Amino acid sequence: MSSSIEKPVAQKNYAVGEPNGRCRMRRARKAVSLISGVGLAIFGISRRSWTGAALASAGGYIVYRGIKDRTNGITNIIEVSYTINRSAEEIYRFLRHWENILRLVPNLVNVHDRGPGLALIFGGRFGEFEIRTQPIDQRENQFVAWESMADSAFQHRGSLELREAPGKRGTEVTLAFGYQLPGGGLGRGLTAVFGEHPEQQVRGGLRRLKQLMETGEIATTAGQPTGRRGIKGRILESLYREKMPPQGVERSARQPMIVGD
Amino acid sequence: MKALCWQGKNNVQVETVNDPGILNPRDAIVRITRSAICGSDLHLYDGYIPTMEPGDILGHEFMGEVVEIGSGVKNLKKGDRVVVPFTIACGTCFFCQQQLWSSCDNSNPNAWIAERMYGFSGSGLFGYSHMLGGYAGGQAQYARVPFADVGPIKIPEELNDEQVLFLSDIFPTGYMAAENCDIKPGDVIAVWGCGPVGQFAIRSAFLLGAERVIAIDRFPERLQMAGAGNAEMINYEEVDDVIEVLKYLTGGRGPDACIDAVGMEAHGHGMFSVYDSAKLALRLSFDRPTALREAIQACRKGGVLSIPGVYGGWLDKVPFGAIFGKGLMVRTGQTHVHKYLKPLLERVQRREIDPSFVITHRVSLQDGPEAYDMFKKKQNQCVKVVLDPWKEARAA
Repeated sequence: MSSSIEKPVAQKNYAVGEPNGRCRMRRARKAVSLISGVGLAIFGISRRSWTGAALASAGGYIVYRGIKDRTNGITNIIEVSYTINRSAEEIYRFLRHWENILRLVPNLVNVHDRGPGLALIFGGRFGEFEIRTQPIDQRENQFVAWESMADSAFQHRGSLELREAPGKRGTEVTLAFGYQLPGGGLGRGLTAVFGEHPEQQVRGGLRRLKQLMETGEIATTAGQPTGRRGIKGRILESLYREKMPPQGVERSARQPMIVGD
Repeated sequence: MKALCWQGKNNVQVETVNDPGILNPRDAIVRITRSAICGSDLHLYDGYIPTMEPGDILGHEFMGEVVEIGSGVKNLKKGDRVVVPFTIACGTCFFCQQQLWSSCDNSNPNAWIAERMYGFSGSGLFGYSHMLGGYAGGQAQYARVPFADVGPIKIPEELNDEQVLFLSDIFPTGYMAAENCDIKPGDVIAVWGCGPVGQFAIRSAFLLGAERVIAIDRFPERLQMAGAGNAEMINYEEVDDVIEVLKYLTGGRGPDACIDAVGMEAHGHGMFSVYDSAKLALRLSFDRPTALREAIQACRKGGVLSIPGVYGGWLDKVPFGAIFGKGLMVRTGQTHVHKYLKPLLERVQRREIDPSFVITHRVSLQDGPEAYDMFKKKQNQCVKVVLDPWKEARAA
């Protein structure tokens, strides 16, 4: 199956964009990100506890993102692949429905077909915002590719490819996503700590797709009983973030599943 | 409802929390009739397992009566009496279909944490840290059981709770450890650690045809229990060198298979043990693999090293050269409990084994915190504690 396709979704073709130069802004952001990261790390280390260790690693991560900062244009690319124990046809059919996509993408609350392109409405911790996107290519049961409109607040390109896995293991689903995140290194560091970094979201979305296709539901603990959390418990809860299901998950717990047409 | 909640190192408290509800179509709610404290709960109690949160409900060995089912559960009905496996598995992914239930792809909502640590995530577990799912556990009056159409096994009326409770974890865990030894006629099996899992490993090794089983521990009552199961006993505090004694007892061959039923918190002795404790104190390590080192060293050439004991992170000073040099086969991992439920229930029904032999203490949920402390300190000859979540309610 795959040999006949001449890599039409060579992920990087869709995912990489051209850099443009806004060097000073970038350096400033990098500095802020480094300073805040180092501060958080020192505070964390001084706590000498699991909470402290978590804070320290969060700080370290912000520093790391700050150093790695190469924003401007689509230069950040994520490629994630999962094998789903279902046929490409079933997965493709499932993904054609926006109601189903809402259950996969954290904080995606609505989709408007305003033509040209689609408006994706996101909610969540950092307020409501809109991303405008349009499909650029697709082949039934094989791949879809899309990119943001020129006027979209969040510049990105993505592609999703379906390939039969060997040994009747189902379908290899590969998602490539290139993006530019507003706020640079600091933005990325903060979103990462709160679990809203694009990479975490892409990975989580694909995992949810796998769970829904294979089991008919999304594994969750949101809403289960707990004892007293206290301050330490609340901080950890936020870091492990199991009590903050993306909206899709919460909905899946209460609504029947929609599979294909 | 009442539940035992983790509040930090050496701190478990009885708290009143909300009753659990159905969250997903394949969930069920079980009214717990019996629950147990596992040796691996002590790793949580001692603060060695990362990603615990104060307020987490503990417990992964429990059974009870189904009181509510989700729309997707067709094989259970209200009133069914079930034992719940401690691993949570979907039944439909590649791993579940290979009977590798504890490697289920879909039951850990926090898989991303385990992926960072281990590359991939295993299944979710009840009451065993957020890295492994963050599911509320069963040392409580009720529990929500995900994928209830796959996990829980119905129990026939003629068997009482104590005879079947341990199908939830320690009996299958000990059994899988013995099964992993590929026991052939004439085999001698050595078992480090005579806690509950070690006890079941010893009895399972005989069930699977072992010629002799040699049990190693330091607590007389635990060794006696192993002896009651026909094992030979070594108290490692009373001998100079366990490895030499094992050689002597096996005609110089060494045990055909070695089971490490101790895990990350071996008490140990000697130089390496001091080194491990120092690293732990500096938070450079979580694990003290004394028993593992000994088992590797003692095992015969081409033998099997079976490790049901729990390890969490990176091990140090593990004699890997000996594993290579002797061509050992290493088998380990969380128990694929679902695979063993039916065959082991049948063994209990055929009276080949009565798993309740391991119980030394029966207490109410209210007395859970003291029971944790007693179990940790191995006071009052404690081997296994069973909790009754409704004792006070019935008395009132």
